[in-house]
Amino acid sequence: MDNIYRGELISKDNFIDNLRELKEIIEDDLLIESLMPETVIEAAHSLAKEINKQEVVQQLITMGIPKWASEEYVKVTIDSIDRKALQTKVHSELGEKPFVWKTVETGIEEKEQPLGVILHIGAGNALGLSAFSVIEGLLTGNINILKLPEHEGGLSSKILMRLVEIEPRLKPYIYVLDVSSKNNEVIGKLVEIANAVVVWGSDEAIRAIRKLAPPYLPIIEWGHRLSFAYFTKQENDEKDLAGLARDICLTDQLYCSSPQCVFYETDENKELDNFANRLAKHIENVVAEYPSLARPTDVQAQITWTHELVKMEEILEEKRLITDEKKQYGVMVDYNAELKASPLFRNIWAMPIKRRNLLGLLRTHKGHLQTVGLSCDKEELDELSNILYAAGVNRITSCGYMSVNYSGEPHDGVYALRRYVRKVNRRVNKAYERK
Amino acid sequence: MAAREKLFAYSKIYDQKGSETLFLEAMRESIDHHRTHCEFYDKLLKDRSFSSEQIKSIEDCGKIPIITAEFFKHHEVLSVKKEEIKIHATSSGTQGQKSQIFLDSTSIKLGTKMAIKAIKHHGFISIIPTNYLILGYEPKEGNDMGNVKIALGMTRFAPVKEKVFALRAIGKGYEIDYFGIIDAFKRFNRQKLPVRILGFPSYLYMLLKMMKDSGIKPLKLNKRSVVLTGGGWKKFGDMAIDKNELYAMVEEFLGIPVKNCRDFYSAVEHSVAYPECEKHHMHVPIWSRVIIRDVKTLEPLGFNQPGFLNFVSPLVSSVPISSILMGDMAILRDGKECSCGIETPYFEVLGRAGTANVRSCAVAASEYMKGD
Repeated sequence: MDNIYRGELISKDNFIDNLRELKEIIEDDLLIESLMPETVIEAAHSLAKEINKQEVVQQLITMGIPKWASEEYVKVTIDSIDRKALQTKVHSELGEKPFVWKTVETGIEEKEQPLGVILHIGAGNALGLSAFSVIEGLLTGNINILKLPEHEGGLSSKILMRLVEIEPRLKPYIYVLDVSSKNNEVIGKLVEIANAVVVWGSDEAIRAIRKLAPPYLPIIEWGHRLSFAYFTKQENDEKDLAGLARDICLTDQLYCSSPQCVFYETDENKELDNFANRLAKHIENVVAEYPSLARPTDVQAQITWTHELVKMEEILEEKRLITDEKKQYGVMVDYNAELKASPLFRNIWAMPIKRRNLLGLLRTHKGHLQTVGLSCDKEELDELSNILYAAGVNRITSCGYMSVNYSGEPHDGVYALRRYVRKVNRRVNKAYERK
Repeated sequence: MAAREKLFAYSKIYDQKGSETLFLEAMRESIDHHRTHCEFYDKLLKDRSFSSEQIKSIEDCGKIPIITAEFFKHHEVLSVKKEEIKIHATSSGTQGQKSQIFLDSTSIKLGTKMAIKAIKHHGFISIIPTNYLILGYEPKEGNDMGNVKIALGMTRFAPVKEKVFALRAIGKGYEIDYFGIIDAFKRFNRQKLPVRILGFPSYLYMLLKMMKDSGIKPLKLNKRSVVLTGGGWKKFGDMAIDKNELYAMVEEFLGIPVKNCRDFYSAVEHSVAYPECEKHHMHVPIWSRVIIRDVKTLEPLGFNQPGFLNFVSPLVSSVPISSILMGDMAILRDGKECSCGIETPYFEVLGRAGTANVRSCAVAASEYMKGD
């Protein structure tokens, strides 16, 4: 029973039965007094303060996430919804006094207006991410319908119910439905009610929504990304290699900002081998401090399957596998450069590249670019940055910081809150002029 | 390669004990042949310090260096001259690259012998004129479906009265010709001759479901009719149902006894086919051995533990697939537990390995393969 209908708990079947009424209910609710960001911020702040950190950490541990990662995750998540963080977010993304009329010139005024109804197609990756998506929808004054991701264990529902209990004025703005992504009939009905669809997930998830949605409906995609690291030849890159090893291991490469490949600027295989060996040493150091967990069977099978192909192609001298006895990580050297996915969980491709080929190589995957962990000399920074941004990269970080975010940081190159509002304007008779 | 010839001439096709010496000799022969004629294989064996002398017992077969089937998808690696290749067979996988095999004439000859012996053993050779439904694409200029070729090859085991194809060219594409099939079935029913249905289980299921949903009166086809499925559910994985459920539907709507419904496991890269016994178990015959390997260490596991499916066989001389690691997860069972009379172990395929639905916002390898 963890579906939510206008802020009240309900069963999935009852929600679906009430879809017909939903249209009218929402039409009424679209006219009630606007929900201001401050109301949402206060409620989120109270929620942040009362969350039992230990309990959530325990839950993550039982789901197989190591203790140190669980603690870090919970801390970062809670910090991101406290008052200061959300105020900074609203301020940097929407400006000073959003949702309030501002005079542009005599007789002309503008303000932000919520889109209306946002359908969120939830993400299965980070736990509770769907709840955060809805919070962004609430900060922008929208009515939110969340289609839950699979395998989340009801976490987002719990968070949103608690929010409603803390602040009952949020009730008309929150709906949560646990329906399969294959249920086109129900999802189609929800799409009809929405002013925009926010989709988190794979290309497949996004494709499915694009098929269902009419052409005039805005779709805001937060899709999967393929991030990587880039190293030029330098006097001393040991510090950056240590940082990259942390980027690889501490996230198990599960974030869109985690590196799945590292490119080394050389055309000599021997130099690439040396680089890969040094990276492997650094990874082993991090692994010693943060041992790799036993992977679920299907994940381990995927890793082994990839490794076996690399081992065969090693005989042909096309690739080389570096791993330890316990198979806790893999540096997979490929002498032919290509931006591609790795099986994750501490397995990274290492490839040689010439700078002049970089843009072309990256443009092949322009829709999936996000973060680059860059290691280069100070004089090379601007040239390389230009190439990377031109290709479609949005974030460049030093190695070790690939998955670290700063307060107010744009998401995939945009301010999410800006996309959840529209700018409306009004030209009035001089007689009605605002004094 | 004398031992191989003798092995494939051996009459009791499930007598692993009696043919063990032959099998081991054939494996040694096969490995020596491949390393002599295939540079890649020789390098691999040198790298692993392996030679055929190390094969003294069946357990030693676990020491043969394994090659992942994925490797053969991307590399043409031959143990014979290109001119000697008579068939290049491919299989449409569910994603990405096609699986492939290159066969020389001896491998084809022995493989054919093997197929005939297997069909004979399971009692499916008949002289009665038989009507066929082929669950595949009607052959046409430009469409060269391997599985249809195989199905047509199997029509030699019972003389053809009529054959009908389930998918026909309708407009620009191919569609299941439901009305044509039902008409054919009614015709077959009137003739009272045995019917053979050969091909993909997915099309069989779609057909039976259509019959069920439309409320058609169930047919009672000749009790000697046979259903031989193979190739897996492929892109219809979502609709896959339990085998036993499918067979029950066959019996309900077509009147064909469940024990005449047999699935085959066959993989293009391995080339030995594994028909089900009447208890629906795929026993390992004398021309191969099955090893299940731990997904992390690749160590051989015994019975009743899931792992990678690994086949060891001397059948093919054109490609060094002596010990091939398949991308399927499977379990090996003790054959003595099966009451059909065959005592060799049998395996159950659990599904594709490495189709992990990783919870992550990083692009996954599986979604990366363009050309789905």
